Amino acid sequence: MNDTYLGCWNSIPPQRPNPLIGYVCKIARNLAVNRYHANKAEKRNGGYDLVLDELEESIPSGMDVETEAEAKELTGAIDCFLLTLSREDRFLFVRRYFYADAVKDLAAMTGDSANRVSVRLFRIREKLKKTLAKEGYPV
Amino acid sequence: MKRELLSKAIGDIDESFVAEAYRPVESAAGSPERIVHMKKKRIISFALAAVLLLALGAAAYAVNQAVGTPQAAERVALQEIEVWKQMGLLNPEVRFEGSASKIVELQEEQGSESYWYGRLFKHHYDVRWYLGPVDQFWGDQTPPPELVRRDYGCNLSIDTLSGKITAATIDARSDPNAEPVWEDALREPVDPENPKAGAVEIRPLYFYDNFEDIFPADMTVDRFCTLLAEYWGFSGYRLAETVDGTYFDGPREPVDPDSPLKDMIANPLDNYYLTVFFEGDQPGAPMYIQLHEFPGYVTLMVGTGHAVG
Repeated sequence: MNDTYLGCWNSIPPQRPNPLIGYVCKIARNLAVNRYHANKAEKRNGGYDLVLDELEESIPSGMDVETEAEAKELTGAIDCFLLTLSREDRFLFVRRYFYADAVKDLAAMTGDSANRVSVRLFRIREKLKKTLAKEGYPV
Repeated sequence: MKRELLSKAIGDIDESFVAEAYRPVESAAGSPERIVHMKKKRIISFALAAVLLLALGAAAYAVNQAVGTPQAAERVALQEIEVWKQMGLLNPEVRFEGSASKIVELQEEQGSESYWYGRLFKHHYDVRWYLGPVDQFWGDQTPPPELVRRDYGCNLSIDTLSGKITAATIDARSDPNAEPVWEDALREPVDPENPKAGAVEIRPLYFYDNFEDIFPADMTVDRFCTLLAEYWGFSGYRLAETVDGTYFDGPREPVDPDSPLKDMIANPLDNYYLTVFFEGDQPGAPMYIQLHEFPGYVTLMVGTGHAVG
């Protein structure tokens, strides 16, 4: 948490984030992920690795994310995709793949059953895959 | 693909999306008010169901005493569907028009232990009303006139001794103007002799979730299983758990009985269905409940005509 505050302190200014909560969450999340990658370099963590596995299936096989530039390009495509989703679907996607929430926790948050949540996530991922394919990323 | 970069890509999404998802989406699905309302409705529904069963029981029993011919099976099938509707198991709009498409008589048969858990399939008729042509598969072609088009289809197993429905598959045609919940495509192989050559998309296929056309929208797993138990004369039910060893294609975690029945949709990731033991049924032989979305229609499957476990 102190790292998060320090990250914010060091970046504001020149950054003027709005909404602030989103900016703070991103710093916290990225610090946690960096530490996760550093500590678990040789092991697979069931929870977060499963999240990445799911997301990786939605990326067309011909689309490689091997460089920072390609990662940035994918971010842009995901941002555009998120705009096409309903608020409920967007919530599920961001909570699952940004916040790495477990499916059962998402079910508790939304009042849906875990099965209904996993079905919805599956459909959202398939929609992402088709959207990326339509935009010219080879399937 | 470098997983670190994939993680970075999702981590760098626009902050407005991150902020929007910071608080849970308000949902009335699990609110205390809805739970109390559902419990009140359940008490009233059970009371009404009990009254209706008493009123119908004597007359129904006399009529259903013997189902000795295909014609009797067809008549009894329609009568039992009316019972299901009056009990609240089905939407009052469910109806099967015209004469049955096909009636098949099946003799008593013992199911295998490994596949059917030893269930004894008693002498029954399968009475079918076909849904008819589904437009998405016919495309620009006109189906032959002899294929009757219906809003509802079914396959009902009618026990010849009790006259009860022991298994049911009920289809409801979807409204093509409704918002689809899912889209896939009809594909044709490039080379039928060589599957590895791939396939081309012929046209899109749209899936819908109009299960409220089959059963009430507020139907829960508990209410559905309780009503089925009452219909079959069983004293109760138990949802299968992992310890039963019947979780082959079931949920990965125990199902909350107050969950909406419409949420028990077949998960695309696994062939999901509810496995249910009814108290008073053949020992150790469960039944199942499954929902499916198909292009242009949805299906409810109940009973024993499927491998359970």
